[in-house]
Amino acid sequence: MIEPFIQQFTDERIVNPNDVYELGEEVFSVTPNLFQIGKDLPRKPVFVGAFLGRRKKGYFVPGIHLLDLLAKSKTKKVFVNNKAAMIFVYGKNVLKQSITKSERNPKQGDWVLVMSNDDCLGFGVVQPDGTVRNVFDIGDYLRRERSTKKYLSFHHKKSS
Amino acid sequence: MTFAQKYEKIGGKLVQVNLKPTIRLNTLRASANIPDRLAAKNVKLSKIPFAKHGYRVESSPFSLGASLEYLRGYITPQEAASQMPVHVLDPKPRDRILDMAAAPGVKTSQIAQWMENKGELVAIEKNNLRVPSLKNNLERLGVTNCIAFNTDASKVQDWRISFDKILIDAPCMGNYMQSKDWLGKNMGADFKKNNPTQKSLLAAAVPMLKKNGSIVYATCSLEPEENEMIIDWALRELPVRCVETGLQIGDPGLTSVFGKNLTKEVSNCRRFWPYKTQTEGFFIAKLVKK
Repeated sequence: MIEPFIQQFTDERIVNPNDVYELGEEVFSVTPNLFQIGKDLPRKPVFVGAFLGRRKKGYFVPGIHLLDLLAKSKTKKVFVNNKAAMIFVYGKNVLKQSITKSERNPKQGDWVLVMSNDDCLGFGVVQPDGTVRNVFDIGDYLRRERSTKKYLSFHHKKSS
Repeated sequence: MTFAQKYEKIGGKLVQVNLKPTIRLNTLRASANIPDRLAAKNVKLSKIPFAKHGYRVESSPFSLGASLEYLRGYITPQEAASQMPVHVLDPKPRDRILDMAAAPGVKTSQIAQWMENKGELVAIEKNNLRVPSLKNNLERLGVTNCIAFNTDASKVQDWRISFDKILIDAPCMGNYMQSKDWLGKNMGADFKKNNPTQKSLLAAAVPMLKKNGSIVYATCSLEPEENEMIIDWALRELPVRCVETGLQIGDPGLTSVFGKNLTKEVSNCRRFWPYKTQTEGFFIAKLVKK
């Protein structure tokens, strides 16, 4: 599932397939040393090496490490202003007028990385009106962390 | 006996200190000059002199915890004293290191930072409800040299693996700087309730340590029962020595507690009284395997 995802952006081999390791729905890139430790120990790990992403409802959701690898490759990008960057990481789309620069001539239907200077903030799909529809942004970490905290506080209250 | 009376008996004071938020600059991700970048956004930082990558947030017009710099993993909130156990552990890029109570992963990621994402870092978290926050932080902060397990670290002595260094950030009752109602909540609490876990983690760590390898035992507690008295127990029961931490901050560990004399080596530990260090309460010991 990771390869078709990467191919939406680039034909370059940015991840060595031999290093890819799947743990349930999650996908990692693992060095031989860490892989050997995982093999030698009697328990299944919950996290190993560089997190590349996870499968969710039939889609592949990238991790920040994979986004950075993509950003280093020859792929289509849009660069946005500071205000649009903050709005994008709250899950919103990028308006056409917020795009300050683009690379490799993105067209309607293309998958593009959304950048703020050198920082990759996520990706989206170019719409007919030139906006970029948010598909994934790094604010996902915060939203996940909040839902974890809510979950923990619920369990804490339940147990106390 | 109140906490104030108890602390007076051991030479300290219960004084509320107004602490500013602190962050750690995560050099695993941050290549640009992040303090300058934050300064351009009117965030005023001051370098914490004793913490290698630590900064105090003097003022900020927005919450750093929701900033792009946080989301990109360039910075992470971490209390100043809490940054010190990893200084004492002194991870190196070629080390193999075990973190025995890893969630939420802030110190784990700090270890990886000192290791420059090289070597091997094994992290263990017993509480499955805390595993998601461990994984989120490892991911956000760009840790790539870690393998993490959800299991009881006090029961892994039979794992055929040895380590150069082990961090035990032991479960403890915390300290009065952590929340306003801490004193009220803990007035009747038994501060010895974590002792069995603290001892079992130490007992499990020693067999997994290479000869001359080191254990850093830390708590965010000011209670001698969770700190000096545990180290005194370890010195009597386990093949370890207690050595200098190398820290310039903090007071020496107590060697006389409530009329009981402890092993002299315990004075090599460091105790962080908030009113002296301007940090949270903390305790750090460094043990070396004989």
